[in-house]
Amino acid sequence: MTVTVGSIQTYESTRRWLASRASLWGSHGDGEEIMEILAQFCEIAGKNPDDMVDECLRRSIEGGPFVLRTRARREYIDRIERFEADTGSRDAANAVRSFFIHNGVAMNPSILP
Amino acid sequence: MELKSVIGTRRSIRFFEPWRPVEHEKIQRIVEAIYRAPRLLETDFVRTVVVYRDKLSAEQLQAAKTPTTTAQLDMAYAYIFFFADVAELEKVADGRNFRELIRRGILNSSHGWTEGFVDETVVPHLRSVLESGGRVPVQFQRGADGPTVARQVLAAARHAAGAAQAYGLLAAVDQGLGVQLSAFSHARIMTIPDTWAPVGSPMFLGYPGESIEAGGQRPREPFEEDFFELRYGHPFYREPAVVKKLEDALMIQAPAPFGWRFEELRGLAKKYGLPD
Amino acid sequence: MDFKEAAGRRRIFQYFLPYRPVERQKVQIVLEAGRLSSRAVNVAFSKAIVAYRDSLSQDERDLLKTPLSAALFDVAPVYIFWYYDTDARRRAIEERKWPTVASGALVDVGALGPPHGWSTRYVDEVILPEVLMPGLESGPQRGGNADAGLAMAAGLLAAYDEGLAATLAPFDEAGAATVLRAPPTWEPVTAMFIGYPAESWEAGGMEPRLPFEQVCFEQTPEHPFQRDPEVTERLREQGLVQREQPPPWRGQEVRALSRMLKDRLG
Repeated sequence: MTVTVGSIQTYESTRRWLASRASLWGSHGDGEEIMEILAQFCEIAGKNPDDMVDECLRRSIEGGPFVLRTRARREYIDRIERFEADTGSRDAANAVRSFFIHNGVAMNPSILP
Repeated sequence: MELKSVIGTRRSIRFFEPWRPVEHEKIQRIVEAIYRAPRLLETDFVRTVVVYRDKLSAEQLQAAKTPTTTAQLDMAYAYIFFFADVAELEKVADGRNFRELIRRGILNSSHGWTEGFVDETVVPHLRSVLESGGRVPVQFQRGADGPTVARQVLAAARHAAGAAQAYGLLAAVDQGLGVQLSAFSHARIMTIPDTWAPVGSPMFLGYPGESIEAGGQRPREPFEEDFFELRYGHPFYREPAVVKKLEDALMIQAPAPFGWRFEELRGLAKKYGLPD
Repeated sequence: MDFKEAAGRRRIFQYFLPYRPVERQKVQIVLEAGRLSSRAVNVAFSKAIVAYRDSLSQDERDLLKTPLSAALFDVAPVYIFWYYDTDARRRAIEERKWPTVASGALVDVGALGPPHGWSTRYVDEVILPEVLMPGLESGPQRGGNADAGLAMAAGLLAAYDEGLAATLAPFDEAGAATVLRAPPTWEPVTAMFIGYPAESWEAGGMEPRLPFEQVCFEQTPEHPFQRDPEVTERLREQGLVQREQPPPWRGQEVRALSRMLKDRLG
């Protein structure tokens, strides 16, 4: 599947990410750049933003509480690490991590030496 | 440092300088303070284990991580774990500690403290109190298969561990260190005796990576919600003059968030390579 | 007063000046110190009720006594009853009235944030249902956590910092429910008896302890903490480590104090 920079803002999880981020940090004018990175990651993962979040954080029964899915979260943590290695950019990988975090999926990379 | 300023400066520090070791002398000072914390029932049952991050294997460190302790684990130089040796605590019921305090002139006959009083009154009283409320596992992860402890004993152990933690936290702040209590299981990094119960969260310790104000003193509910005078329901009147005095002594400090806190957080994210 | 000196000065004081009142402002400072202590998920688990010997009748004092604390109720002018509120977590979650992790306040003030994996949605959809809410359905459970002890210890140090003596001893829970009307969901921690000391600051010396190496360890419970005696000695100079034995004149002091307080102690 292809998620373009243009279409990525239509996903609820992307809008939540941008809104949550702006509410904490204000607007820093890097929205376009980080959406482009997220679109690139979606392309590699073959998923759209909402599906990626839904895999990690999903209601077990309709109307019930969300459950953090350990295995799916772990898989995305590993994928983001590979993405970081492939792009050679911690900033790019952190943009993707930021997307997951603001959507309720906690994760941390190692500390940079 | 002045005690009031130590109390006021303490807050949960979550960014540590990962590359900066803490001098062993400073860690000893913290442990010496913990060792002298007030006890409940006058018995020594709190056990502390200082674990150094760099002496853990990569596998141990990885296994200990949870979704939100990862960064702190990687940044803190050491972690101090608190346990209660419940076997030691259950011994209190035989009165030995009180006999020792009588022998030293700390407890005296003027207050009714005699060997006979310990044997005939204190020991039966302690037994009845400590055995009320049923028993629970010493180590919850072992469930019903492991040894058990009176629930009252475990409660006393947790309250006493809190006192030890308070001394440890304040001693760390007194030496310019950053410190935080955070949930983190010992199970992946050490084996403990059967009679040790984990009590209280471990202390993360290191040189602070963020400003020591960490964005300001954390918010609290109104004073009158927690403290009462003469009876529950009658709030302890909080005199503004005392608040002012404590502000001057730096015990009550400017509340979070400082206007620049979010810029600081964002800067820290960049400093350590963390997401924002 | 320096932290180390306040910590080192603490003793199991038994003799207070029963006629010298404690300034109410100093009692407030003790509580203020407790209020600023570290607490899990920023919830107010720690509670306290202050009472004064002279504001209670003899019958009320008797109801509060245990064999371990009876005489202290007769000589100490101020009592602070520290409690752990077993219902605090439920209230924090359901009411969200005050700033806690459950209310989202710690993310809002920048104490917790995305650099550590936290966000508003993480609090609402993960921390609340998976960490804070499980177990609430079985109602308040006894067994405490460390928070009330943390608050109590900070308060204790503040008392010494104010030139007061303070001692911990248990109180009768049922009696406290009658006299102080403490809610049934409050678990007693300890009573703190406060006053100006009648005995010297040395009192009976620091209380005896198990050897340091039997209770403090490094890396695993098999390795006693490697203690540098020079550091301990410096802490002695700074007041954290003080005399561990009763002073040689302790017996005379106790006899004199017993005479002095005979009427109070009965």
